[in-house]
Amino acid sequence: MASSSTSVVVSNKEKENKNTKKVTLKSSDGESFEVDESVAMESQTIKHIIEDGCANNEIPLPNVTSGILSRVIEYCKKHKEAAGESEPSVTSYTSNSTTNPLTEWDTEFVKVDQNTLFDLILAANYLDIKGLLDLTCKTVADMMKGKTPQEIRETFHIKNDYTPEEEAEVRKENQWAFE
Amino acid sequence: MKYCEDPDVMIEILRRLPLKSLLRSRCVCKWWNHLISEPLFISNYTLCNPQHQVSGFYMQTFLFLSMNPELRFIPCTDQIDAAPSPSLSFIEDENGVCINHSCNGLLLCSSFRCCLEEERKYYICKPTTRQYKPLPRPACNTVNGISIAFDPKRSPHYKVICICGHDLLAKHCQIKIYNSYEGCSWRDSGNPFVVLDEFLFNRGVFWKGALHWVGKGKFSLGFDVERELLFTTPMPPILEGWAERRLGYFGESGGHLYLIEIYGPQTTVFDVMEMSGDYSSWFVKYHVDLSGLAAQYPSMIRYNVQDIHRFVFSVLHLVHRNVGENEEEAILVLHIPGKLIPYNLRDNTLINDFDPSPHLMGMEENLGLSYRWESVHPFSNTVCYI
Repeated sequence: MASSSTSVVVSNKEKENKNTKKVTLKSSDGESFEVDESVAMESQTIKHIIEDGCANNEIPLPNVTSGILSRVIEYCKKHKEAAGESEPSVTSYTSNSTTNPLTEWDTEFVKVDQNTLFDLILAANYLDIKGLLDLTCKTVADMMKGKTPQEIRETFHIKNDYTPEEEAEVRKENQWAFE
Repeated sequence: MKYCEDPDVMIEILRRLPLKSLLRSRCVCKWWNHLISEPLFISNYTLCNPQHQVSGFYMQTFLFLSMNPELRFIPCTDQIDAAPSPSLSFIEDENGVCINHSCNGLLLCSSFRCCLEEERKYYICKPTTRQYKPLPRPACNTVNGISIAFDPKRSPHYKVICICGHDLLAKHCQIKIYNSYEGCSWRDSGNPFVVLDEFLFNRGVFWKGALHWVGKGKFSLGFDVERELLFTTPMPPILEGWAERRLGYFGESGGHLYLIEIYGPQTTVFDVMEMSGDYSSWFVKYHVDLSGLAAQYPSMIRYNVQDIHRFVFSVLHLVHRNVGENEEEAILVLHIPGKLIPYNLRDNTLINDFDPSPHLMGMEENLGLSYRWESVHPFSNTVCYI
């Protein structure tokens, strides 16, 4: 080893530590989550907060509970990893599963109860995480396909505010959709 | 529940539905119906679902004993699955229904087999999703022409313009307008105006915010729909030696207004003229010579006693499209006995890979021409649904 050389060969591990900045995210119910900055920046909302220099100690996320936040972080970690290992995956506009190597993992990820699914949608929307929003909304849309309006109302606990006459009229206008 | 109240979230979910599921969702609750009917939602949905857009034309003939006219639809683009079914029987009218006008995906139809104008019903229809709506009657004894003015890029609402014959003043017409936004009845627009030349009021063309009716004399008539103003535009001079104008085609495609005059039948040569943007004049855009076509398709030529050739063809449709960055494509759909032939205007060649023949069973060569441009209604749906 040429020990007198002033240039320092930085080992890979040290390089990792040097580049691994962390941020702390705080959920609405007060729990703190420390994550790699690069993972947190999967969220465009958080990315802007960090870039604007407002992320001093913790980033508070008053709209996201700890249960949901931990899942969101899990999603971001997994997708960041996958992106790092291969070509940067272009999250296509319509989530073409043949180009997404994490299709199976994603499918398992959304196998949750309906409330959790909707909370994930709200979180993905608030945090502006395109891939997660795409995945969760598509899951809900798939649940709706093939259902009658009444079945959809029951699934989503929606009140029918049409009078029977109004409902018959809308239905008749869109008769083709029921064929 | 909170999640169902956030419009951004609901929109993100609704826009990922396939078209039929989306339309069914209109029946779930009023709020969803409202979200789905928003012009911005509709235009985004249309952009993300190009598989529903089709461009082509209807061919309509009136058969002596049939309740309904015979309709065929010829698609000019690849999305054949999105083509509307050519039958309008989903419109419930005991007198059958025929197409009067077509504009940006909407069809104006009316009762077919009825004798009195007061019996005739009018409908606005979207044939791809089989939606239709009856219109109130224009309440005039003579309808010279009735056309839709609809530009979905500017507004989700449409207007219907009716040129009524004036009951008392001879040779006078009155324009009446129906506005889908107001939705209840027709109102008069402007004063009665005198019409001395012949205009094709039943073949209105909507271009640059105005309805245009081609004239057989020195002028064409235009009606600025927004400002409700009538104006005239000059027609090209009638070819020397001819007493009457010979209109071969008048229509719009890709934002351009086209006129073809064919001083036949002893000629295969004609010009495709385009109206200049400032309405000042017609200029020759393409020069067409079909003698090569006639050589290839002898059915196009008829010989009479003195061995003078008579060419039997008509122009049905002109399609102008931007393909790629600076490329334009312009295709003329020609009709010769028994066939439809698409013709590339830019390089004067026939197009081989467009084969409309599956749609044309029953067109006999011996019977001459079954259609002219007046029997054709262009159709292209620029939005997915009403």
